[in-house]
Amino acid sequence: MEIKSFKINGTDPEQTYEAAAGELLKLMWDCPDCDFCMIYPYNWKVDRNGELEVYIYETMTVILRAVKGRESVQKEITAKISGGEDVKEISVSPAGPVSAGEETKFDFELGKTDFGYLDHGIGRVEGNSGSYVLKNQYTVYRYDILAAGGETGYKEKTVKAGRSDALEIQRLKYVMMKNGNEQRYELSWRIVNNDGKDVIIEASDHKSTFAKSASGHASFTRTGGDTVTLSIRCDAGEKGKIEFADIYPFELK
Amino acid sequence: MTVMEGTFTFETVGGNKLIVSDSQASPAKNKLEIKVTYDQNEEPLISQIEYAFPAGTKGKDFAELKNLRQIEFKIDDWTVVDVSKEEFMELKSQKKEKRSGNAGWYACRFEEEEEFIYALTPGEAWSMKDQQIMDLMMENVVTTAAEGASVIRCTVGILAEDPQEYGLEIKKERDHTVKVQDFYPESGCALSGEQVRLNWFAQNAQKLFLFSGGVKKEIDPSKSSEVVTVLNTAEYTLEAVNGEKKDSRKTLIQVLPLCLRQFWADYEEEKIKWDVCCGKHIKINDISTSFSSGSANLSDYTPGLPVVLTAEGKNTSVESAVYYGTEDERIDIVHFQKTITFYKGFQILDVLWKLYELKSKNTAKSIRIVYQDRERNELYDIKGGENLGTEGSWQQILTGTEATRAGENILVTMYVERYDDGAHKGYQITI
Repeated sequence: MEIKSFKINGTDPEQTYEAAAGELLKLMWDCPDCDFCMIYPYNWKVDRNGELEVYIYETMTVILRAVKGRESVQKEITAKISGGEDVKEISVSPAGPVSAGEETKFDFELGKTDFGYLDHGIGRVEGNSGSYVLKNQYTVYRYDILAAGGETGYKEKTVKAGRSDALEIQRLKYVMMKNGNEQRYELSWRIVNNDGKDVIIEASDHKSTFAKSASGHASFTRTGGDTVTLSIRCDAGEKGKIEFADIYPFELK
Repeated sequence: MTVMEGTFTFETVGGNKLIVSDSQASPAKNKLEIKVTYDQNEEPLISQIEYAFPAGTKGKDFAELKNLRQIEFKIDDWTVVDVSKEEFMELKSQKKEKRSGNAGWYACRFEEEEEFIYALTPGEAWSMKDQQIMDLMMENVVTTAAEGASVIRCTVGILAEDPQEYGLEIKKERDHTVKVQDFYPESGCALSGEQVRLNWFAQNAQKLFLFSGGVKKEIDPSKSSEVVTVLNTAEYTLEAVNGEKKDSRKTLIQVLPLCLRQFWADYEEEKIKWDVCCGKHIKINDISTSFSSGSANLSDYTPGLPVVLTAEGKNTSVESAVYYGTEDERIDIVHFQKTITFYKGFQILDVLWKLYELKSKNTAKSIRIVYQDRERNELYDIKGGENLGTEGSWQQILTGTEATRAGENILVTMYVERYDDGAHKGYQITI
């Protein structure tokens, strides 16, 4: 019995694969003669051949152990987090605020790594660019990459992007303070570009009502019971739509 | 008596002599299969098949040696006789006749009132009638303790008076090579301070040593495992020694972040199942479990409410929900999971979702997931609010939230809007 092949991103056993923090590793293996294989450190029991993807956040050694009866053979590959990541530049086109439905393209000039994280809900972006139809008001976007070297940290660059007239929650502060069996809730909100449409805020226990204006404050108390969550809705047609439920307060301690 | 003419052959590996090594590592080698065939058209009658056990040490046969616990004869895939060591000793004490210093046992098949009966008897076989050619398979033929030779004899005849005998010799050899054939941890990763069992299979070791971090510990060679306490990622080496010869193997246990491999509902088995690697404080619906992988009955949980698993590991916390509707309103099974990995100064948030066991082709009209940071009052749809599809993942870096409260401050809500098919409404899950 032997391990016919085992690779991580093309690297063979007894070698080290130099990885960027947060990189996606592709494991591939083939042991045609065994009963099954084990992949450590994950303790995965797998078939005699296959592939798997895992993210790497710290240096680790992946071991493939092939088992037949009471015998086994194993091979290992070390995936090492090494530094050198950098984001040199970030740009958008078109520059300036866009209108509803128009696509914005982000370009990232990267060093070693080939992924990063973009703001406003976009999340992980693979590669040096991404195009999106943005729904928020023109504002700062942050782009972050992970950078290894001693401890894993991050590097950030910013750029401005967004729409000229998006319906948006610009401020939503919802807090709660406990005082014995009483809970005191405070809410303040500001919505922009709602085009005069009602902003409908509701409490989960339906025991409070709120103004339908684009901005406002409210406070209420409860005794015992579950945490009161809020829902907020507003439909401003082309300018956008807001619909959130299960908004939890921040508990002040 | 007339003996039928023809040639009897014993078909085995390597002709009429079979070498069986004493190898614990390959129990298959301890199985002897022989097939008795006859090259004429008519089937002859086999009056008996005798297995003569190898001679043991002085005054004892091999069954009395500690390794043999059971003797089993099989004919036609059926266990003919299953004799424990104690029964064997009892039967042996009933024996009246010895054959050439060996203990002879006979596996017989005979007919009594239209019924076939199998028996293991010491001494002479019952006289048999109407026997058929059979494939005879004997397991546990040789002991792991002694070397020696034994013989299988097949006696053929129409009547028992003038039988012809054919024999097959089995010789048992012993492999004295010292070898570590396998060495592996129960878990390839651990939490710092956790105990992990190391397992091994070593052959012909007179001495065993376990090395780690410059420390050498002698292990009783009859043991096949040892528990170690893991503080940091460490390499372990097992060395087996026999005289001048040695063999060794290494393995590694790493201290790494938590990995929630599986958390799902199995409708067929009616169970919730989980598999957590490098995790502690595993709770399901706030009730602790000491099993890092296991299952529980779906009926233990309230239908219509999510079952939530939480766990912590090195720099990681995970919250994973499985939701599967009610008895009346069986929907897709939803798996929705939030993992936060903590670094110095920032966190990585991983969100996974999967709808499976789809009850109809397009059960979910749309899926949205909303991110909420309670502390900073951030609220937004992930991936720009597009319909997320029934399966996917999203990852984000969090640079502004307070690390110690990230688990409770960062929430994600999944909204599933279903196709309108009467009473069935959409639903949401927040973790």
